[in-house]
Amino acid sequence: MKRYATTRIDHLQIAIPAGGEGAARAFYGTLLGLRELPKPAELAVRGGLWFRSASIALHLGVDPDFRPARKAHVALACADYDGVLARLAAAGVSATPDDLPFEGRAHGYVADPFGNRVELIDDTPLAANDDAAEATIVAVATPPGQGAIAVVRLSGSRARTIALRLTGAAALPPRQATRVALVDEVGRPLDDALALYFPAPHSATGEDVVELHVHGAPVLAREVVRAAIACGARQAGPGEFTRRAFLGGKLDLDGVGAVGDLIAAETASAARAALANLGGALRARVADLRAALREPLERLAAAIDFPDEVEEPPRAPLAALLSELEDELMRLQRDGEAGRLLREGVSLAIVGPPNAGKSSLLNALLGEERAIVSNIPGTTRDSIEERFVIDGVAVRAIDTAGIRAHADPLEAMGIERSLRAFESARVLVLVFDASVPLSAHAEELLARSEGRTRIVFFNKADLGTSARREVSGISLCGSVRWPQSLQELRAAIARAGWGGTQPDLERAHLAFGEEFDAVARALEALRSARAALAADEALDLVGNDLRLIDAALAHLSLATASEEMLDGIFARFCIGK
Amino acid sequence: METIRADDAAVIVVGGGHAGVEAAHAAAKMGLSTLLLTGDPERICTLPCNPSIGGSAKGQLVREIDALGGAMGVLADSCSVHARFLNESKGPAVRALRQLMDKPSYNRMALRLLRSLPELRIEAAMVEDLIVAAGEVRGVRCADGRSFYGRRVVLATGTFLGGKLFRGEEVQPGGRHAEAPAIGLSHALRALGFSMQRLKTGTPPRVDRTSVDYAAMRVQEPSSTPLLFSRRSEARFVGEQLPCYLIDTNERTHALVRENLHRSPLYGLDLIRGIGPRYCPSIEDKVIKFAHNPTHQLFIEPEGWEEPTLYVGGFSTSLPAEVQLAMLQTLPGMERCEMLRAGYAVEYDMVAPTELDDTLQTRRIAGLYHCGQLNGTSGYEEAAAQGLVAGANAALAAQGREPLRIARSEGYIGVLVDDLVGKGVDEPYRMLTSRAEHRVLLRHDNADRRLTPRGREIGLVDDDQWTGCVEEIERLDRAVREAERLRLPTREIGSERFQGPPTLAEALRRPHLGVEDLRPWLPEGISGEIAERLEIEVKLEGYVRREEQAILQAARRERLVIPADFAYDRVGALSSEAREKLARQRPRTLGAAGRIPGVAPSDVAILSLYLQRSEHASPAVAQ
Repeated sequence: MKRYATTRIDHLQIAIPAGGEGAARAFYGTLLGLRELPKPAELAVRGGLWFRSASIALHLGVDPDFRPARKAHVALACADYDGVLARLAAAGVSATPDDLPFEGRAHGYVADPFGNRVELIDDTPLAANDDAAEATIVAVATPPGQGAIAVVRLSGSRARTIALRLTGAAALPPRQATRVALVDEVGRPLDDALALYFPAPHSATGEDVVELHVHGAPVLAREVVRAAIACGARQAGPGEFTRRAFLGGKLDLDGVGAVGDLIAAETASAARAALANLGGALRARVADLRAALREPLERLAAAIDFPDEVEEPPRAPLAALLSELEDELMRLQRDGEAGRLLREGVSLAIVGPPNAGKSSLLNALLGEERAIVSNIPGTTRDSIEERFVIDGVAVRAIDTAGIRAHADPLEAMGIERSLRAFESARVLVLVFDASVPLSAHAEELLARSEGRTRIVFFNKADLGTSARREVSGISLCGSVRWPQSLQELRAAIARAGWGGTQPDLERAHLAFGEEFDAVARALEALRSARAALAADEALDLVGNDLRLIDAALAHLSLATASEEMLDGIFARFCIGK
Repeated sequence: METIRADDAAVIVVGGGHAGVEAAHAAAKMGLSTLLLTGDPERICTLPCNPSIGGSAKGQLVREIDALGGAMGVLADSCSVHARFLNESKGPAVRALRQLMDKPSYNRMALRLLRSLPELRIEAAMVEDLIVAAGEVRGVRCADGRSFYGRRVVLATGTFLGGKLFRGEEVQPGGRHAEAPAIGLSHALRALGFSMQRLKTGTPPRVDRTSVDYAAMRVQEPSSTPLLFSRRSEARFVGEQLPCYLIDTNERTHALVRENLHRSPLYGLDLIRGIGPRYCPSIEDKVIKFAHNPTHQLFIEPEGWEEPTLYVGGFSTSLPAEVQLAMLQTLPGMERCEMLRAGYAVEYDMVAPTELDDTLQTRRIAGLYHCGQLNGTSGYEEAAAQGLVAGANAALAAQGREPLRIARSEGYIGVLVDDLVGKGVDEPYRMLTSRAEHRVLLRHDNADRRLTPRGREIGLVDDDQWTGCVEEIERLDRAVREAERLRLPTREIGSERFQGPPTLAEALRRPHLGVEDLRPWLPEGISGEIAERLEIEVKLEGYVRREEQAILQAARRERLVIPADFAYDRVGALSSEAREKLARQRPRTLGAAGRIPGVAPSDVAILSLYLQRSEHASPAVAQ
């Protein structure tokens, strides 16, 4: 990236005549609303004025040979353009509006008391922006899917009014479930529902919030949202409730990550995992890790600052502690990776020669799960991606649209595109016809996938198994028509995709990219500390790493490090001469 | 309204302790006419508490003061009766020098140094009031009716503001032993609206050195080679080197403390309201708060070559004098000791350092600077460091030049100033290595590299020091380059084995090898201090690089300026504590905001979000 020696305008200076400070103060200060800044004492003697507000820094300097600048000018953006013009007019200062808008904004010119030209530009926030901050938003708050109950949530100053209209109720008592008959904007009945009203600020977002609990058909929840929009609400953007909750002081960052996950959660276990973090489980876990580090950190700091009084911490227990910490952090990282899998799903490519049975396999796998997975508008249903669930983990079968549409994808779509899916999938399923000798194509696929996470499925065993042979990786033989084979395949996909046993994500795990980074930093410092200990390096250098570990963990748990530690030192050691 | 006559000096310094002396020295050395006002010019820098200068983190401060061209390092070197490196085995970044002073010499040398500065005038005067006009300081008024005029005034009044001494039931006004406090100035500052706090500190009793039996004590020998703070000092012992001694308290000592607790102004009598330092607790505090410790270590230190007194470190107390003597006589080797002076506690006024900007100038009154214990610090070194910053900035302001600002990553001095003005204090502040997040960079050995160019820039480093520094750094850089090139004709050094012949630098990177082990192969020009510095620079290279990267990353936050009129009360997500503190202290940057106690990283994240939102209109929130 190119770097510039000069980066921005620090301030602008315009000239005023000697003795003009009073008039300037009235014009720039009172009328234009700039805030005067006292000049540093050593500069004040020269006269002139400094103004500053928001991003404007305007200096007025006294020029003994003053001549007004009639062309060169300062252009000021006014948040309250009309108000400023009105104030100027009231003070008898006339502004000349320019009929041609400047970059779409109204603007005009005015002369300051000395004849300097000043341009004023309308910088009133656009209505849409205004709306963004103030609008009442609505969305389905429960994860997409067919739960028994769907929750439609309204948040904003008009939430209650809109809810009253949709429920026909005379009043909604705060924080009580009220049974209501939902109607749409023109009074057509929609559903029997429960309405809960949470007045600001004691609500999830800190604004007025109404929750409407409707029966779990997605189409019904969508209809309620549509009706709310017709009554003046706006469809909430992704994460907008969370953002309001966060800025309203209702959530910490740990919680924000968890809510984002919850919204995206497609499967039950991902939802459970998100809920665990919402409860602050991650923070609690990290707090435990930091607590373990504290004693040696404090002892080390005390030994350095009070060398005559506090002994160095012994190295062996420190090494043991670090090794434990490393295990813990790596487990966090592994769980986090697993969590990533839960959220993003495991990618799977099903490949094989023509007529090996790929389409049948995919259809069989999709089979009974499809109702749970797709078909809900708003969730991704990419044309080249199908999803199904094994043990609560989403599996994304890549490039399967083609597989389903064409009998022979490798030929129909060209080798390039299939290869891309082949290369990027986490798990490969190779499907071969076991009843006939393996084709050259099959051999090539086998060779190409050597070393990858793969499942080789010898299909059509009901017709013969002559082609079956020993291959590396997981190998199965059977038929997509046999339920037993499908069960084996599912188990194999689970084993290959996420080690078979589902990670326990109800305990704390990492969710944010930032959290992964912090743990990676902690681990790096930890390894450096262990290496330094092993090499018998000076303890301060080990301590330096320990502090980096602690700082990275503090980042995770969002607490301050240094003062805490000093308090710890003074509580633990009797120090002082 | 009195008429203000012409200025008596460009910079007026009030107070003759370490802060005041360093401030006056800096201003005068930078060529500004300077006036030092102190109660008794013969008693400047008397080292009223312990005889020690330096120590962990404090030693680095002294090195930095010296690198900037200040006085303390040179003065200490010229009076050292005992010198020792601390933390030698714990790592080069925390290695620190401590010396014990011959107290009478220190006072004499300080006076001689100040008198050698042609721009400096010293007057005996107790300042009672400030002359302020239109928000600017114009001079000071003294108790004897005289006034002195000047547009830069540096206050370095130590523990004298509203000072009160305590010993048992006795309470008397005083700044320190046998000296009157400054009452008027304390009132004057209050009247000007400064936020004041009350702190407490104390000093232990002194015993007659001829009345103790050293045979019953553990001896701590001084270094057998001269160890110096300043490269400007000549490498020689200035006099006989004296040992220190260690002893332990025992159950009888503790019993006396407990039995007499009702006579303690801190405990039973409950006279002291000020907050004392946790790192320098009185023996009363130790016995009560750490009741499970059967003994507490004490440090018996000489106060000079001819001084009759021994300093009993770790034994600070304000119990009645007769109790102090009884307690002393329970100690090994002290059974028949004579107490020459009893310990006491002192309570004094300080002005909240959050009243200051990062040049140590008060925000309330232009031209007025505060430094030293007045800002709530403790320790000679902390005081001197601030004195230098305040004095230099007063001088720079008088010259209309940019102020001296030292970043946290540039020096302990930067950490000190930033902590003080950013966080304020709630107990006497002492510098600790753990306060410096970049301490791998802030080493004893590289203070000159870090700060001498800054000192030169402001005119505090004279030609001799500058030339010496430039030559030394050139020699060092040459040595580092050479070490990377020079291949040693061996694959085995001590217990270390190498794949092939290592370069000198590669060998030095092994934790168990130092320049001492490689001496046979060291080229000419790499010896003595250069060799030591080479070893440290090579060994720490990886750590230093990592630290520099972290600083670069943090720099973004340090640069993100918060608008001066930012409305914190509109940010609902901030904790109420953070909101209140931010609104009060109005940090200049996001980085400074993050260092205010009570402002959690989550508050900084929220603030950062808001600042970005107002810049780009669309709020960016992590999802």
